[in-house]
Amino acid sequence: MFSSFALSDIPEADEALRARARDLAAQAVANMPMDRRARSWMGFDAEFSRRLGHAGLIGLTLPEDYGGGGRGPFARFVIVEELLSAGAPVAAHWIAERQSAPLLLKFGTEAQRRKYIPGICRGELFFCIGMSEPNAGSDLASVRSRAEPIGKGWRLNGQKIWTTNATYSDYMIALVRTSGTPDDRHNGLSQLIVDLRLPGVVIRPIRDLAGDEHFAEVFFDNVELDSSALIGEEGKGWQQVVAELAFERSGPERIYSSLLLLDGWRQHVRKSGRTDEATARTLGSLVARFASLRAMSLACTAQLAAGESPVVEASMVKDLGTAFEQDIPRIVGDDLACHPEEAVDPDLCRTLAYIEMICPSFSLRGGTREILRGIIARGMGLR
Amino acid sequence: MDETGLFEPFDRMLADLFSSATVRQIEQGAPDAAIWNSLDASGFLDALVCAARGGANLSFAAVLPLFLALGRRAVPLPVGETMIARALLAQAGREYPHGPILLGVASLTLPGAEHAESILAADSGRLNLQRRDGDEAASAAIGLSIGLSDDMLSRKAQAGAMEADGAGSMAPAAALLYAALIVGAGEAVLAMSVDYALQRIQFGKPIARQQALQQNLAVASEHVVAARMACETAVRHGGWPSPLTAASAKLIAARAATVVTRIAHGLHGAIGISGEHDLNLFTRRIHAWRLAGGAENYWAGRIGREILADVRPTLDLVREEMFS
Ligand SMILES: Cc1cc2nc3c(=O)[nH]c(=O)nc-3n(C[C@H](O)[C@H](O)[C@H](O)COP(=O)(O)OP(=O)(O)OC[C@H]3O[C@@H](n4cnc5c(N)ncnc54)[C@H](O)[C@@H]3O)c2cc1C
Repeated sequence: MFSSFALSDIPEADEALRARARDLAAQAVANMPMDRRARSWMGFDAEFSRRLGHAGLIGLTLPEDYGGGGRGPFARFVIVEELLSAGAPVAAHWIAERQSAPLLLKFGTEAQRRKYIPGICRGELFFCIGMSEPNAGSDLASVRSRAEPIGKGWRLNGQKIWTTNATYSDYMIALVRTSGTPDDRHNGLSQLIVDLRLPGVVIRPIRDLAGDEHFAEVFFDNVELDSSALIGEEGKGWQQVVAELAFERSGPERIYSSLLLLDGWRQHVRKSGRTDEATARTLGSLVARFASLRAMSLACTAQLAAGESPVVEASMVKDLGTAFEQDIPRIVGDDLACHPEEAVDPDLCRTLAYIEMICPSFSLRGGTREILRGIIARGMGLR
Repeated sequence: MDETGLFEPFDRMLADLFSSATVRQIEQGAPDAAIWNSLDASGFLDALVCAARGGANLSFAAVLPLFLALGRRAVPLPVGETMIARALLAQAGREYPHGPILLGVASLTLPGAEHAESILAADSGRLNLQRRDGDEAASAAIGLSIGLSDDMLSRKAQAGAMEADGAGSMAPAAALLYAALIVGAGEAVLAMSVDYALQRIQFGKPIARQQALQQNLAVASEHVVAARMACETAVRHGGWPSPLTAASAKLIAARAATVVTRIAHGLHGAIGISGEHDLNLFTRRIHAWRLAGGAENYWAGRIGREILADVRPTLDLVREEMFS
């Protein structure tokens, strides 16, 4: 079972990118407290994204012809793990690079590719994902936002929700109904590029439980789009979205969200001079789990590099990876609470509190745990 | 996966030698000597032995698929152990016997002990091969056929006497082997579970249609795959597994062991509890292999003590110590 899923080394040429990514990340986080760094792919810093883009570290998997790096998925793997483990604020370009540009490359017209991809690679054009709606979460095919054909374009009405970075983004790629009714399910959906500055677009930030405003509600009131807004084929948006979600889910980013907390805790344990067996076991177990997840993630990357779409395998990494990310605050909190005699850096306490609050979202965003397990079960032939 | 082309013939040989009926017979008493003779004659027991001593000089990476196959076929004899022991002895310029050899690592239980002719210990870095007489071998029937008995616990002291702490390569190699055996058997258990779930009808449909069960099996497979990746990490440079990567492989496999056996037994219902059903050929071994040479916490402690004082960020530590 899953026998084509095998560990692979990172090619040396890609490994060589590590130092540059590390330097830029280190500069960006130099004066940031740990709990800010812990926000990482929810931390927005347009200037940092621009610097990364200009250093050639965005869009490494995209063709050079469109301003990309012309490299493979391992190059992106190296950059991503460096940025995330440093807690660099990568949110601005994150979605555009990870899924919008690959989506446009695969399904877009030549004009669309030329218009958007180079700007994404420079770290200057930001995108958000307009999939979820109030009544369409896991059941994404039930989206109700609707674009009617008018003349040579579209008139869009409806609402999106939980749209990460909508407030700061230039464009949204929205999944909407362009023909048929919600009963037609997977048929009649299309993906449209929505310029978020157009009249009729209203964006309302949503404050999260930690006080941050990374996602938003987006309303469309008779927004007029020209024909160039359509990506791919009218009515075939579902197949495209499935491909887009494969880009979203197969990257290495699903195992690093709490790594800063683990690093902070290790530093604390060292400073406290702990040498006891319980601490050693806690540490050893977390590090071994991290190593096994990294191996799985590398195996996924190898499948991507071979031109496969590791949907099932990526779901395995994400499910197990987010469980690891969620275990870290539980275990670190439990450990620190065992040692009331130790002084804990307030920065570490704040990071712990933040991660503990936000970590349920790790297994929601990008597809919930139950949905991912359903995908794996299908891969096993159970459904 | 099978770059050497060895997996196919090896697996076919195991399938011929170890039908579930034969596995049960072996569990009941002494195995047919012909079985071991076939293994010995096949040359596979010398897979890791250096070429200078007439072995195949295979890397651990090449042998990992063979270890997995041993688990997948629930092989009750210490085949992997013998492969490792022969390589260690050959490397030290020593002769080795033809019979089954156990690895004398510090352990609560040494699976296959009842069938071993000798045991290789490493006393303060020196390899020490001891032949076992019949009585002792019989009294060493541990874990597998009799479950977690007093007998098994009493082995602890004895195995402790063969403490292998200083034995550079043996303990990590044994840890990797047990991890791989768990993974192989875990894969067999997953496959049996999927088959059974598709066949068993309750409430008018296959139980495979039940979402709760699908989700459980998805989780079990994640753990088994993670354990296989940890094994692959430990062998990725061909050499003998490093203490850190082997420890990690055993820890992750030991975690997987309980997850996959609990879920598989749950899914099989009462039939899986019956002695006649083959599920227990695998799950009993998985439990024994989990404990053999230390389970989760033993290895977690080993890893933790090694890195407690390390100042590198976790990513660098893991990259440099386990992936380079
Ligand atoms: C931080 C964050 C950022 C996000 N960013 C974006 C974004 O940028 N763009 C975007 O479009 N969306 C975004 N989302 C939304 C995310 O994709 C959805 O939260 C997710 O798809 C689940 O939908 P829901 O929240 O409506 O939950 P629901 O679908 O209502 O699910 C609620 C619960 O029911 C379970 N459930 C639902 N259906 C089934 C089933 N068939 N079987 C078993 N259990 C089921 C779910 O697993 C979950 O536990 C974001 C979410 C978060 C938390």
